[in-house]
Amino acid sequence: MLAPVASEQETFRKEVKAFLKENWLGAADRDASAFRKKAVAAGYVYRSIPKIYGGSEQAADPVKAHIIREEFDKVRAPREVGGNGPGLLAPTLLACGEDWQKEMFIPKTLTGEYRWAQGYSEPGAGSDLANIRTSAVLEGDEWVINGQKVWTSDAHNSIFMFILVRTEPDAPKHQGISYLLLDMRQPGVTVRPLKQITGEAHFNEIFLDNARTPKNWIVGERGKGWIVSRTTLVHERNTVGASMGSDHLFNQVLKLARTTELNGRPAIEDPLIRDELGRIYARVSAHRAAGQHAQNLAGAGREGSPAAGGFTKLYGSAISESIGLLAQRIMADHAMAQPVENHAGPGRWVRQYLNSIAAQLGGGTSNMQRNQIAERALGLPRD
Amino acid sequence: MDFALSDDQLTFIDQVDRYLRDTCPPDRLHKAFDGNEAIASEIFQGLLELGLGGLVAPEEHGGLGLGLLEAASITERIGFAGAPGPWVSHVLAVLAIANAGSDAQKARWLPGMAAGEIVGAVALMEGSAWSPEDWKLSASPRLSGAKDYVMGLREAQVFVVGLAGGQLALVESTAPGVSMTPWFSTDMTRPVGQIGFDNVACEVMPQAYGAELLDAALTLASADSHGASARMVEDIVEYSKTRVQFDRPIAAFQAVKHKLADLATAVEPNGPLYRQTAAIFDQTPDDSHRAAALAKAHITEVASNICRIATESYGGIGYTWEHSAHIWLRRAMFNYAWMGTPAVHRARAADLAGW
Ligand SMILES: Cc1cc2nc3c(=O)[nH]c(=O)nc-3n(C[C@H](O)[C@H](O)[C@H](O)COP(=O)(O)OP(=O)(O)OC[C@H]3O[C@@H](n4cnc5c(N)ncnc54)[C@H](O)[C@@H]3O)c2cc1C
Repeated sequence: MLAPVASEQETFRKEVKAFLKENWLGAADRDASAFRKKAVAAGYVYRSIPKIYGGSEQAADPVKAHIIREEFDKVRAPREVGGNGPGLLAPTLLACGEDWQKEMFIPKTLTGEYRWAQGYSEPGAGSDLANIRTSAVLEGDEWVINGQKVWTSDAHNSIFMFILVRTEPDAPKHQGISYLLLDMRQPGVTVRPLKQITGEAHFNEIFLDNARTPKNWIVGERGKGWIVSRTTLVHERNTVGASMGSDHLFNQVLKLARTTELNGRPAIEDPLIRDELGRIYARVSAHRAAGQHAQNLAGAGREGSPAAGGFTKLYGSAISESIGLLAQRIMADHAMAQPVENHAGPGRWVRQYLNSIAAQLGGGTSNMQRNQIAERALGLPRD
Repeated sequence: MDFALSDDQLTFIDQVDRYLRDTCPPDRLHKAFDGNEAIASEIFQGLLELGLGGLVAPEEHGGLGLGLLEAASITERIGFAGAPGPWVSHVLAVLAIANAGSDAQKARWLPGMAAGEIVGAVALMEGSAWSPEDWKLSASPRLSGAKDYVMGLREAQVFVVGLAGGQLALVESTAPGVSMTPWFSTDMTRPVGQIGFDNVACEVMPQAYGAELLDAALTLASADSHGASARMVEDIVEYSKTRVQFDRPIAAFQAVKHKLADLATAVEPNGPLYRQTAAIFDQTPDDSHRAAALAKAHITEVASNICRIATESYGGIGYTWEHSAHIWLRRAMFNYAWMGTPAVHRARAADLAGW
């Protein structure tokens, strides 16, 4: 038998529950920011971020982090602010930024006041990201930026962008790139929404026409932007593939199977549907167990696989696709048309299925994850 | 559910691994596979003598007093090595006696099993009936009938026999009226056969432990399959780095490289999944039926598929008897079918979940 380590964990779980009971008033509480402040003070959110930058600066403890996530999610209490800022930019600044940059940007990013767009992809640089052409040239105390970015999520809601630009046109591809911060509220920046496959417009084209940013709004050294950007990508893959999403989605499709009639009986009674539900649920469970295994390793200071992000993204996005397919089987003819546009009904599942394609593209396509797994985890030749 | 392995556990597993590496090189495995019983026995006996014989037996009976988590983790390594012998059957027999036996029965059998002097085996399936609910044999007053697909027929001195109602009986291999019929087995490192009983004297154990024993069997089959599939992936990855066609290693072709990445991705979470399942068995047995059914359904199916794809990926050499691929492919095929196929357990898991 295992050593009984549960007691310390259970005490902590009780603490979290008590905190939530006292401070979270439920979904009726419109002012998430007041609650979040208390959650920071209690050490429950932004745990890896120093106090001086608005975080709660807690020792890394994957088990505690997991308990917090579970308990907060149970009562739907808000945790960290979503979006690129807290998830991608803040860790990058902490790893590679100047102290004044951290002071200036991180606190307001954590409260959600500063929203960030990720300006990486270009028309000619997707998987081959290092092929970017957007240029930045120093003129006096400013960088002058020209070029085009594309597929830029959330740019229409963002006031800042972290952007990869070519600053050393004569250097080899990977060594000529810099990582800049840019205020998007200026005439040189044009944001044009792109309508997505789902009909919504969450991403954009960005045109940069003599856009300007201060000389010292560079993260890391000139020409070292590629390395800086890797820090961000690691965080992105880990987020995209996280197993909580699979769990949630599975519960939704289970509900759909219970409440939808197929061939004259609830879909959940159909043996083929049950088989597929079981098949997917096993993968969701495996995904979750693998996530916990990775946390256990991190907690014990042991090395995980060098391609863990790739594994989990590939696995998680495939689950999302299977769930979308199963939903279509359950809905049958309702997947063809809905009487009204209804984001709660069948329309939601059509969107989810289409959405699962994005999970296989954003943050590096599935093929790029395969390359990463093959090269880093299996030691196979590089492309 | 905490299923992390401690440093002590990892060190122990490492020792077993070293033993397996030394004793199971491909040429010896092939000999065992081709029917060299002496080699198979030697490898298996050596395992028991490492102290594994009594892994799940209580310490007061000479065992190590460990749980299914440890047993499954060792089983993974045994599957990985392709080691011959009725390991799974023996562990299950020890587990059954330790949990269902009377004090006298435990004292009679466990010390010898722990010391590696007595091999045990479980005899559970009746035809294709794997579920305790479908076992029909009865021991009142004496045992008649047959059990099928029994692993350890040749080695075991004592059999744990499943009875109607999930009861279990102990039968000695030398008891009058016991007959053994070896079958031509898919996985020749772990041959199976039929054991027949003709009015045989037996001892029924006090606890009806059949349902728990089934969970343990499913979990160990999952662990073994996971090990087999992980080994197949490791081997085909190495081969693809050295096999040259069109002037480059075949691993340089993206069609190969990506297939291998997909195999590795499919294998990756199965270790955590079976360990979690074993930890559930040890720590929160109420959830065990469903977890074990789900793990067996998923892991033995995925592993079998992985072994099939990996075998094909070798090209012609993988299709030969001399090549090792089929040792693990057949192992995975056996685990897939043993104690209920994946589809059946998936349906069961759905029922148990209340879907
Ligand atoms: C919903 C969504 C949101 C996004 N948000 C952002 C964002 O906020 N900021 C941002 O910068 N970018 C964003 N992206 C862009 C995303 O990172 C790119 O789409 C992605 O990197 C792929 O680039 P691409 O679209 O140019 O496709 P390509 O690179 O042209 O790929 C086309 C196809 O070729 C395959 N392929 C390419 N190279 C290889 C290779 N070496 N081996 C095998 N196959 C290969 C790909 O897998 C793919 O199937 C977003 C994308 C989506 C879908």
